[in-house]
Amino acid sequence: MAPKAKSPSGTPLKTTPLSAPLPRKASADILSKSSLAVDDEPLPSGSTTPKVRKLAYPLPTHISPTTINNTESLLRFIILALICGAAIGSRLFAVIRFESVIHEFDPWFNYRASKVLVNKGFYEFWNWFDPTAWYPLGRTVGTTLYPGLMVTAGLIWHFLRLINMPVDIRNVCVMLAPGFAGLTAWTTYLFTTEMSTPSAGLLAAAFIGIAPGYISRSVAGSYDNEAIAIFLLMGAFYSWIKAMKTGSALWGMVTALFYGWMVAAWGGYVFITNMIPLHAFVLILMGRFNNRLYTAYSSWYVIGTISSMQVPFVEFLPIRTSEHMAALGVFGLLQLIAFVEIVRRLVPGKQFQLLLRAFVVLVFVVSFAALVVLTFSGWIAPFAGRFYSLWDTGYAKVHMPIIASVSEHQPTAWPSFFFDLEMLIFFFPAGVFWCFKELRDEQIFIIIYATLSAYFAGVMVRLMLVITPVVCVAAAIAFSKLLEAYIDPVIPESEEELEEATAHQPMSKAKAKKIAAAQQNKSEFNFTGILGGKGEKGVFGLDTRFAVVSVLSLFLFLFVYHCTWVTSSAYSSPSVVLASRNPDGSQNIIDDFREAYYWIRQNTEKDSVVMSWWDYGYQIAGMADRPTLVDNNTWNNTHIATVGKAMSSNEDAAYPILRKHDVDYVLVIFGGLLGYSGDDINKFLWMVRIAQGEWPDEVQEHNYFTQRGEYAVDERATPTMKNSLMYKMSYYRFHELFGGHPAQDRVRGQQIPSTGIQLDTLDEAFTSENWIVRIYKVKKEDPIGRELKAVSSFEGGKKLKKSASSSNAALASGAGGGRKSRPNM
Amino acid sequence: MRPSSLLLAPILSLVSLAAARSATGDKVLVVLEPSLKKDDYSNFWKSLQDRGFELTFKEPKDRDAELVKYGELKYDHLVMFAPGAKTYSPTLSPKSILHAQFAGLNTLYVLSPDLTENNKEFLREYDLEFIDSSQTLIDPFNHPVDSSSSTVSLSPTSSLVQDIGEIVSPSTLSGGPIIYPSGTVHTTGDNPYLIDVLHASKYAYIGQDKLLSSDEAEVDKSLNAKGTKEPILNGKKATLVSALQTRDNVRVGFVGSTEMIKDIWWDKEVKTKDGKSIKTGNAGFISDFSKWIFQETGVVKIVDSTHHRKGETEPRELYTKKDDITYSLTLAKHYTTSNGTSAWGLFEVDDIQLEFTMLDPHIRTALKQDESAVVEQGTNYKARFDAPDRHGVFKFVVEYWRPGWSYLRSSQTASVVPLRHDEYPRFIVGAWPYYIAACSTSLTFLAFCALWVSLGEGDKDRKGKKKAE
Repeated sequence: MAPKAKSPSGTPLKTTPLSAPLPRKASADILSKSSLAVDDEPLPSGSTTPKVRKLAYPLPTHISPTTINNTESLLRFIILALICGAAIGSRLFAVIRFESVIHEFDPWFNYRASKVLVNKGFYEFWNWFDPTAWYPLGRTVGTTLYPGLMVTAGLIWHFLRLINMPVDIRNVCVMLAPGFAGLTAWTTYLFTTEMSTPSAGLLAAAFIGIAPGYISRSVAGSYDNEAIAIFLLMGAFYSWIKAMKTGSALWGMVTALFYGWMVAAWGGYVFITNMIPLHAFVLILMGRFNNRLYTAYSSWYVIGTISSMQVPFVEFLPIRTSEHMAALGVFGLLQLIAFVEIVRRLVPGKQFQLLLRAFVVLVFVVSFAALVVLTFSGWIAPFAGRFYSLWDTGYAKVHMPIIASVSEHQPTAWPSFFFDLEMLIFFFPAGVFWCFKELRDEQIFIIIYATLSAYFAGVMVRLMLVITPVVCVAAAIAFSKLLEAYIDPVIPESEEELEEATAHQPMSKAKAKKIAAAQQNKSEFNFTGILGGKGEKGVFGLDTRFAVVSVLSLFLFLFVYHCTWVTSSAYSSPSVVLASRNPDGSQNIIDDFREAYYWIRQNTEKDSVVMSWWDYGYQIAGMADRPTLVDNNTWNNTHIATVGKAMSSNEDAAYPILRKHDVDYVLVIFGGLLGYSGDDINKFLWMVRIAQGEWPDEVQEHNYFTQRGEYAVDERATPTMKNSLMYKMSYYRFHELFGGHPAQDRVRGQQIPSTGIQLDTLDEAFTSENWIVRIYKVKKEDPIGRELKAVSSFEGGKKLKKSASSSNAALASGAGGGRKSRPNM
Repeated sequence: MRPSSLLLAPILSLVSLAAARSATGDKVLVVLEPSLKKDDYSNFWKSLQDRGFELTFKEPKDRDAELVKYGELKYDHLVMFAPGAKTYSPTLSPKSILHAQFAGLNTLYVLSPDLTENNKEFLREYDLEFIDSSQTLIDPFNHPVDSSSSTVSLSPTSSLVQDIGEIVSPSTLSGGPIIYPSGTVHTTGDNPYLIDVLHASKYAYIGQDKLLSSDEAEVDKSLNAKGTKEPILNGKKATLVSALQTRDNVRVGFVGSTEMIKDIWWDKEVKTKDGKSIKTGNAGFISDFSKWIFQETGVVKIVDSTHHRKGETEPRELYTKKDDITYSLTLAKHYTTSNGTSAWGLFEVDDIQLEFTMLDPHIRTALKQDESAVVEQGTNYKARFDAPDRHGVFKFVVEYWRPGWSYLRSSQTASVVPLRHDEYPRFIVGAWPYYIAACSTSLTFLAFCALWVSLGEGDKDRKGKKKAE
């Protein structure tokens, strides 16, 4: 059907009745206005009546429209380049302050995967089985990751080598996010230009370039999927709008390619998968179905779905999971409607049309019912847990503590909206309002995007990232409308004049202004406001203009200031290296993590298994190069719960778990000495909860709270807490640091009992300079078959008395320690 | 636990000493209590020297009796002949002995009823519990006629624990009675590494070696005071000689009587009740036991363990699911050649198993003796199996743990991985509907396009009319 699109693609706005001629509004920006003056947009024939316009301030008259046009393009280009520069520059705080280092947790895995990709080639990367992750289960990495990021970095690396620039892959990885942030600014400009005017586009590009909500995920070194995903998101949306407006299959294919790249890069692609169908669906409901929409959507869906299925991790998900069903459903619906449209055109007759409508509804209902049946019969997987937690915010906490335990999955606090978006969050509704006001096809997209992402951003901190682009776009639209209104020198006619004009010629206010603009040569100006002698009332006086514009500029300055401050103070810490201030103001670098990881790397056997909470799995694999039990790819809840159980049990219960999993070293993060609050004791309750989810009889959360319901680590701590492996490992020998004074935990502000903690099954192997990382070696079984508790008391000089021995034996046999059985290896 | 590590640690390291018959070495330290006369045990020393051991005698308080020097063991074996010593030099303290044992020192403890409280406390670390000092094993029915009832005569067949590898040789088992004069008694606890070797006869009991007629009141008193509380140790519960083999195959022996080693019972004839004269079995038993402790008998090692895929010879780090894997293990037993040198030979058993383990054994299969394999020494065992349909880090685990034999452990790591992207079968029958669907759709589309182009736009109206009609 596509080739049959009847309406000429040049005038996209004339086909459906609702989007009937709404000519683009003249921009208040003088330059763009003059560009519009030479625009080829057809003016209604009757609008040529000469009219004298009032101007608020003089305009140069002797510049030709071509010059203005060229200057405008040049300026736009320079501004855009500067915005890209600013976007990249503001992300470099971390590199300048610390060094070119990979940040945080997930980026370490991505970096490691990229190294495999560039060192061993693509096929090895694809088939990569990592025996060191999730020991001993292993991880088939190639088919359980989104390879887009690594492949992108790998291509850049290869390209740089091709042009004789041998750059370390690490530097490519570190600088990837800032580079793509520059590209994001560019695509946002294009996207917003489609929505509104180029000046709004420039504003949007500037906003997205430095908005902290996006910077938080894309500083140099933050080598994560989101780093390129936002660029791809905006690219896909821009090309979708373009495809939908022009009805071009080429643009539809570009959308599909962006979409395919996005699928390869980030799990958040589901957002696009649902955004575009929703947009199309809303347009259909509004009666705006046309062949352009049909062409754009069909070409996007078919090519996009096929390309997304090439990603090994996605494979058949697009046809088997509920998240993707909306896209499929809308695709089917579009086919039906297109079919009906053709038939209707060919077959006149009201009854027949009615029949057809009924047919459409029927097919829709039937296919929806089939979908539901398929879902319940299990052929189509229901929504994944993470998606349920988007609808029911309490769901994860009850059913999936593993998801709820991630800090970025928590609901967003109100201040963080302001923190991440500053004034944009106030301009955002205004921008959405403007979209409502015009309500063209593409602006409906903004409205849907804004509504959905506003909800999602409220549910999960992490999804602040998704709302940031639309906030920037909407705020830019609102902002440019405001500036437009107050910088535009044309003073619109008063009501009476206007009525006159409309009586004479039925046209909108905007059109009137436009005509006026076309004839600006004939205009005359007189100063208004205080400058002009006679008072011009209302908002069009120069004084009002000046006041509003200067306040808006002040907003912009404050915005830049705020963004820079937030970026510098909150989002530029690599988190593997910490910085603090000495009393004299100089910077003190705390490098405990790398110190400890390199200690492991250099002092342990190549195949020693390190157990830690999953947060540190990727870092251990990346920096220490040792097998880990669990890591940040939290795919196996049971395995994580096993680690949680080992951490939260007493030594007797934990030791068999450690031995069974061949654990050689246990690593804990302890911030009590330095006041580093992200330590394992603070995460401990999550370990308990996750373990409780699997073994409700053996681990119970309430045992870790005092009778008054407090989470205490001082004398009030419960015996279960004090005997837990995590507590012991954290506070082992802690009081010795204080030389007799009470030991103070600076994170929790509590005093640690100075009674020594005895560890029977573990030996302290390493403690970093500031005690942040503590590493313990797991003891082997005693060669002569004693309990390790007995060994340490023997080494401590205690002698076994007869009674003790017999009670030990009774205890051992009673507890079923299995001593007379075969010893474990 | 690590890949390709054969945890037969101490045994392998010192095999090269050709002159010794022991598998580990020939340097023996004897710590002899000053109150015991060395010459009383000359036959024992001589038998050790004849077997090629160098003996060094020290007293418990000798400061130069060092077991470990510069982190290395100075001696290979230790005979602790000092049950009554109250103090030890720091180099012979319980801790240093235990640490030396962890490093590979085989130890023979010779004990007596004079065992001091300190020593008892130390021996509890091995999970042994001894009876009170001054009490001995008494058997009023089985003792040489010219000795008191505390010189217990034990029949090898009923008192020696059998089926414990090569600890006891057949000649000892069929030989004369083992005389156990004025010895102490212990019980072995739950420790899985302990092996009972010799226990008392069912008539034996624990008591003081006194004539009953001397003072009945005193006997009554002692019975009421203590005997009621103490568990009654008699018969097979009363262990006289036991052995312990640590996780690392270091051997420790406990002999409850110093007297039984004395020359007076060494290959001497004793008179039984029925008047016969029988040669004692002490010499044979003590030799057997010391041979075992000093790693001369019952020593087995893993010579080699390897695995490979069908059609290959070298071990791989990665196997694919469903691969045909062959695992091969070579075991060798230590023996003493006729000219008194150490050698390794065949070790033939039929109860060895291989486990292919990831957390739990996924495959457990018997290792069968492979006669055809050519090995330099020892016996080759093989198992062939298909890798499980589960990816992960697996271990080839062999554990052979039989009392009296060296504890054999082998663990090698290899990963089982899914098929590579290009290893899946192609053009399978089940996929034909999909191939046909793809091809037919493409062809139909082409045909449709051809029709479309050839019919052209001009025909459209006509077609539309036709349809409308």
